[in-house]
Amino acid sequence: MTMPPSEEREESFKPETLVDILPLYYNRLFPCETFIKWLSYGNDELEKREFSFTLDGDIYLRYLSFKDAAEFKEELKKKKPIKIDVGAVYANTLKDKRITQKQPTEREMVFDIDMTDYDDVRTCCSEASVCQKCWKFMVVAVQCLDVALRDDFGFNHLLWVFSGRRGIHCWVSDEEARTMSGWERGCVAQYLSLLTSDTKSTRRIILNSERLDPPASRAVKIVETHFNDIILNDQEVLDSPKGVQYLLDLVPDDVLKQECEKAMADKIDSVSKWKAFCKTVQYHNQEDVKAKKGRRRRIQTALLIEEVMLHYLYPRLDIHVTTGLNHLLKAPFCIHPKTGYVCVPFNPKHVAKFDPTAVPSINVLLKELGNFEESTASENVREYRKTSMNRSVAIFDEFVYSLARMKNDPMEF
Amino acid sequence: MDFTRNPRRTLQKNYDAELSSQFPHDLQLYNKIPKSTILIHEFEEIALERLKALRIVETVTLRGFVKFSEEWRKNFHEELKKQDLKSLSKLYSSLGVSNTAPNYEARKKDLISHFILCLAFCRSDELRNWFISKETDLFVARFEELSTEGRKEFMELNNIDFQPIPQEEKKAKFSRLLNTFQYMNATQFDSADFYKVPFKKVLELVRSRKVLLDKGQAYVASGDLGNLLASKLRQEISHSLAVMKQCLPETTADIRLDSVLKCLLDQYESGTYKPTTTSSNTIRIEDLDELSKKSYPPCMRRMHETLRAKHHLRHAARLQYTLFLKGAGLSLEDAMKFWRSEFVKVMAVEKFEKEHSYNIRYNYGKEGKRCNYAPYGCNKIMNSQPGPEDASGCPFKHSKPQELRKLILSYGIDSNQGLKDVMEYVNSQQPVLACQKLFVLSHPGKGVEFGLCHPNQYFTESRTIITGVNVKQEPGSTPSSAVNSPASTYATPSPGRARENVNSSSTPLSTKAVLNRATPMSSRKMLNVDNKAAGKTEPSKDEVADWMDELDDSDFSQLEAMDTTN
Ligand SMILES: [Zn+2]
Ligand SMILES: [Zn+2]
Repeated sequence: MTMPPSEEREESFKPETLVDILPLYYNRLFPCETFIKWLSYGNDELEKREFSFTLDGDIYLRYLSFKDAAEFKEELKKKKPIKIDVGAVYANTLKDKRITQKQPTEREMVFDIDMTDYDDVRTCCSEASVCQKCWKFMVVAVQCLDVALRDDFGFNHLLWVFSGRRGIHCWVSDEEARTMSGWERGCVAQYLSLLTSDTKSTRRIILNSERLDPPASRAVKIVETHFNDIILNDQEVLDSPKGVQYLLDLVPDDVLKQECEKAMADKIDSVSKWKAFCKTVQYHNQEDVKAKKGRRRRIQTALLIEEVMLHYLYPRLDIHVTTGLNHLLKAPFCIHPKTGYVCVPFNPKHVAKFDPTAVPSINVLLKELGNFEESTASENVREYRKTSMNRSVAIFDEFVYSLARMKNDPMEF
Repeated sequence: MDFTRNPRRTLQKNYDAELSSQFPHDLQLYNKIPKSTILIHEFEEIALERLKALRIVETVTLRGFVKFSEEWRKNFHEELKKQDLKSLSKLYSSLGVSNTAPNYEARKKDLISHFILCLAFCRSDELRNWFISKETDLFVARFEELSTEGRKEFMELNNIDFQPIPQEEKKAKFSRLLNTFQYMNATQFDSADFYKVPFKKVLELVRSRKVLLDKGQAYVASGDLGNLLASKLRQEISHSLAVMKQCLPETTADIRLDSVLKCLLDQYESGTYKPTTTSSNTIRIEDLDELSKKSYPPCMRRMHETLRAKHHLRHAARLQYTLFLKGAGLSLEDAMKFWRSEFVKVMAVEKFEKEHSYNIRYNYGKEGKRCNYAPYGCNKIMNSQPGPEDASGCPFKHSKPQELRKLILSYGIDSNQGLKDVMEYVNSQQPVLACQKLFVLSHPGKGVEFGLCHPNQYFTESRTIITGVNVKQEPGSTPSSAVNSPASTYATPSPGRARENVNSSSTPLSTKAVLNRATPMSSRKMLNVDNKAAGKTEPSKDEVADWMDELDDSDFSQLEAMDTTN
């Protein structure tokens, strides 16, 4: 299936028409069954799970709950939410009005990475706008986190979702993760943020040692492969004097800072400036070793180049989203109310090929659905298969299927 | 039949025997519901003592000592002695098991006071988190203090059997282990033992990347055993708190018990600071910019700066900031002038007069219900739910990390460690501690002697330090004195507190507790032996209910005899 060029699709989406076309989308394309299957985890606790709807006109409905996929679908069609959020599983059934104190007991461990948190190192766009160059920051983020969550923590059931505009979410759905407390999640997030060592003001990551520890070393390996491409070629962060100053501000040692400034002064483009920077730092470190400087002095800059690369590219997590058990997070397959894009799951292994500007949008999907029906007279084709949403739903199906497999719970597809 | 047998003596003997089997070690994991009850005034006393001890744990850490370092432990012990917490101080300095005169009473109090605080602190996440983190810290400190022998005994008694990983596994993971535990030199590494546990058991270590993680398993170095145990304790406490929470309906139904527990929480939360709403210390508009840089807590500073930059604040922020200014001593006239001067930059004077001046007078108690509204405390601010565009709320809880860092750095913190320390509290969801740490860092050279719970308190303390003049009005409400003597503030509510309570709901509560204390029901000790439960069982809801019944049981007469034997 080929996708129409993005300009055409963007042009054709009008936010004010969203409410009118949503019922059709919810009725025929939103994968209600699988979605509910996922959030039920093969038990009967669905009615304790919070959903929240945002209706047109800034109306929030919190603490909604549903008994099954059919009821969920009915409500979607009836209420036409422009946004669906998924909350926690609570100790009691949410419909029970006698319970006033709501105690969240479980939820997926979620990670939220927002493009706007990269504004200080992003020159191509700012704030809400996102282009393919920006997306590469997300590529690095996904690659770093996905491997850490799997290899270090042993999590297997990760759902990665494009938020429809300028960020990505990860839903860790292993039971181990779902039952963690807020504090416990905070510890995992802290580990993943690589921020634990001494933090001086400007540099985000300070390793404070002469050798990389295993998680940092793995992260550096990933970041290294992208650094030239993203930071130097795409973003050209060192082309402007402001960008050079930004880099210099990351240098902890004043003497070294001056040396770096001097070394970069006669270079023009980002690539050669970065080369000069690295050379200067390496020389400085070698001199430190030769002069038998103390450990305290050496660790200040021993890993400076690695730290700077991590500073630019290592994923920036919004830790509050992860630690709050009852924090609401936008559900996959929602339609972004401003862009019309579907909030689609993607395969982390192929994240580099994902194009955020070519994501299916609601009106295109509905058009495809119409076209398909005109040309083909097949009854047994599932609705989404007729559209460019096909791939994303398949990824989602596979994710839910693997969860079910863990539970030895047969599931039909 | 033996007529010579002294029934009292036998009872006493049984009592001792029972205690020694219940409390074989100075340190415990609190996984058994106390089998003994105590009189109600002692109940309050030991609970308050424990609360004080947990506060000390907090203060010593805030003073900047590295947790559980020798310095930290020394400081902690000195403070325990200074505040006359005899029972804990004794336990703290003894070696564990093989001492000649085991202090069973102290061990018993240790257990009971822990559970009383559980009852009080199970009520909200915020309280729970604070309690768990301080209790585990206290535990690790005590564990570190034990002799090698004492540690071993402790592990044996609690069936904790850690097996180091075999040599082959150590070899297979050689380079990764070496790069994780970089502080070890080659010889240390060769002789070091590593333990493998699920990562969830050592999250404190995971957090600071002090373990090697592999597929959900954490490799822990033997030096971190205390932390490994702390995670076990953390689980036990979480469990107890969950059970206690289920019992809340019963707990709160018991008025006497409830009032004691509420007073405890009062002590923890606001008992340490009540802002004076009729301040005679005045501040002037022209000083606000400077004050905001030097003495405002970040929450207020952020709103002040937003107001200066945008000439507008949204509703929640207006309210939060007006009340703070009122508490800080800005007169109504000046408040009007101040807000008007900013707002008219973006709106017509008429609009301001029509829409906003009323509200300001209202907040000063000059309109409407004419209620003199109190400035918001940290808890209220933290529990608010500001939207993404709001400048209100607590930055340590509600701001995005990037913005927060900027805000913290704007306090001119120059120490390497500073930002890290503050952020560590933020990341472990302890916003108040983060704020207090910032206070310490931005007022260098001054030890902090108060437990922060109110932005106006932050401000007042800061002014006191900077101007050298005590701007606090009544000694009865000064935070430091309240912290140092919770028992006395509690027993006789200070006139200051009573008067300042706009809605006086907490006054009868205290009175009630004082009255209860004097009733004859609170008379005797009793020991309730349950052999079945002497083994290792986690507290269940029923057990807690039983225990609470006992606490509340006024019929202690059968044991009257026992006490008179001494
Ligand atoms: Zn861009
Ligand atoms: Zn504050």
